[in-house]
Order: sequence, then C-alpha cells, then structure tokens
Amino acid sequence: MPDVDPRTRRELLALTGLTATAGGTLLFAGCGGEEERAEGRPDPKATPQRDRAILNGALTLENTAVAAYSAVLPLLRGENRRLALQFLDQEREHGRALAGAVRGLGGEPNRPKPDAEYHAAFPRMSDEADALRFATDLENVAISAYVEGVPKLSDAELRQSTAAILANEAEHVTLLLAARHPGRPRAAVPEPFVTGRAAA
Amino acid sequence: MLAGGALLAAGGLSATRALGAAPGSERAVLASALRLEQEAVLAYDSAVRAGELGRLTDSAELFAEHERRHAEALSLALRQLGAEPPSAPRRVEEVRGLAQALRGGAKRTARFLIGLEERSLRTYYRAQGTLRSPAPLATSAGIMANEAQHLALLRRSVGQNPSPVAFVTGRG
Repeated sequence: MPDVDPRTRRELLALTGLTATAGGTLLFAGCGGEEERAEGRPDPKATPQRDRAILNGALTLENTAVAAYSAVLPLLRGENRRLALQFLDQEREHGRALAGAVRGLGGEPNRPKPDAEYHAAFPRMSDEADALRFATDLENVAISAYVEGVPKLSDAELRQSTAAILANEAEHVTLLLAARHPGRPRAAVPEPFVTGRAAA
Repeated sequence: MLAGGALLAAGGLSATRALGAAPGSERAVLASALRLEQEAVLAYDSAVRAGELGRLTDSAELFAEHERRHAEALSLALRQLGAEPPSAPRRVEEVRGLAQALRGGAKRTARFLIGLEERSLRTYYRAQGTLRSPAPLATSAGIMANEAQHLALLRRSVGQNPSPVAFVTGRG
C-alpha cells in the first residue's frame, strides 16, 4: 500500500492488529495469507473459527474508524463535516453488526481502545486538508483488509454482509477523494477493481 | 437473503455455509453480472455521445472504461468455468429504458444510470452468496465496491444523499 502515508499506515497497522505481507496486502490476524486459486472450489481453510477472527479484525478497524472520524470532525466544515458525521454513524453501525456476528460465532468482540491510545497513534492534524487525507488513508486501509478478508469467509451470508460494508467504505473513500480533488472523477474513482491501494 | 447488517447483527449462520454453490449457479450469476456490465458500457457510451450530461460527462467516460474492464474480467472468469460469455448489446433499444432516458435529458439519464448501478450492486451482492472460489469472489467484491463508488457520484449529481446506507446492497 505505497500510497498511504507510511507513518499513518504503520500506526494504523499497530492499532488494528493487521499484518502486512511483502506485497502490501493487509491481512486480519489469524486469517492466513495464502491465496487459493482453484476454480470452482471453496477455500479449504475457510472455517467458522477463521470467520470469527476475520470479523473481529474488521471490528477493530471499525472501532479505529469511529475514533478517527471523531478526531477529524473539529477540523471539518460545511459539506465535509456533514459527510464525516454520516460516515461516523455508518462506522458505528458496522461495528455493532460485526460485534453481534462475533458473538453469534461464540467469540468475544474486540473492544475499542482507550481514546488516548488512538490519539497518540493518529497523525498530527492542523487543518481540513490534513483531516481529509487521514480519513482517506484510514478508509484505504480498511478497504484493503476487507478485500482480502471477504472472500475468505466460509459463510455465504457473512460474505454478503461484509461485502456490503466494503462497498460502503468504498463510497466513503470516493467522497473523501472528491472533496480533496473537486471536478476530477479520475482522482475520486481511481481504479475499476477496488483494492484500497490506489493513489490517495 | 438478509439485508446488509441484519445477519451480522444476529450473528446467524446460513444453511449454505461452506457448501458453496453448484458450478452452474456460479456461471449464471457471473453471466447476469456480465450482461449488466455490457448494458452499462452501452449506456455510458450512449449518454456521452448524446452530449446531454454536462458536468457528468467526464465521470461517464471514466465509468464506461471501468465497466469495460469489469466485462473483460467477467468474460475471462466465465470462460474459465467452461461457459461462453453472452454477446454484448449494440443498440440502445436492446437495453430496456435506455432510449427513453437518453431522450429525457441529463437528469433523467443520470437517474437511469443510478438504476443500472443499483441493479449491478444487487447482482454482486447475490454473487457473494453464490460464488465459492476465492478468485471470482475477490474480483466480484472489488467490482461491487467500484459500482458503489459510481453510484455515490451519480447520486450526488442529482442532489441525492451519495451514501445513504451503511450496508450497500443496491436496495438502499
């Protein structure tokens, strides 16, 4: 993920427990990195236990996103602030749903970290441009992890629901990019196959 | 099929867990998605040619490129499953509602494109439940996210909330 600010990326990985492969792919802890290529066959490593690990990893990301949008709100004005408030609510909805799913699989949902821990890890931000840049980086980290995690889920309906979250995060990043690059659709929607790795 | 967060919130497990789907179902959902991509290519190209889109023209040109890339990927995936991709529509009359939308000006065309993107999203959402091999699942997820991005910018262009729901299934 070369286009996310390296320090931001490092701090976000530490906060979220994601693992980065040599190729830049982000993996949820316990979800495994090997790509299964057999056509027409399910991933043999897909199990409810791994589902739980993937969903709990996603929950940690959503908890981080809630903290991040709360942190950037004071720097935003007008339409950007309105959008960020909406995104904050949506990240909370994702978090509640993921926590419920983890419980449903017999697990204990990861809890949010103390605010001070998030704030210590977030970059120093002084204006709206910094805030939008950070939110974009954060959404790209989340997208990259969801793109890797969704196909690894063993349960068909969990895949559908997490793909629906991924699509919402993709909307967020496009609207953030559009705010940063008005009138430039190629900057707002930079890739036909969303990976979270495109230029921010 | 449960909407977005309902299943997650309930923590439920589906009857289809780990069973996957028959290869025929995989081919069917990929063929449906491909047909919608082909219709989208024609719709965006036709809208650009009609010259009525105003500020949306650059976006429509970009989205047509994206839909072409999606169609190529889906055609390849279908061939790998032993199926022949459907032929693409060539005339606006072959896409239901497109000709009327184009005659109705920019806003009506944008609303038609919104409807098309929503149908695509519903198909890719369904595909996540039907496909079972990791590579097509990953491709489908990446395309679904891209269609959501298109939809966000199209909605905003007609004054709608660009991201109205937390779980994007094409029904929100």
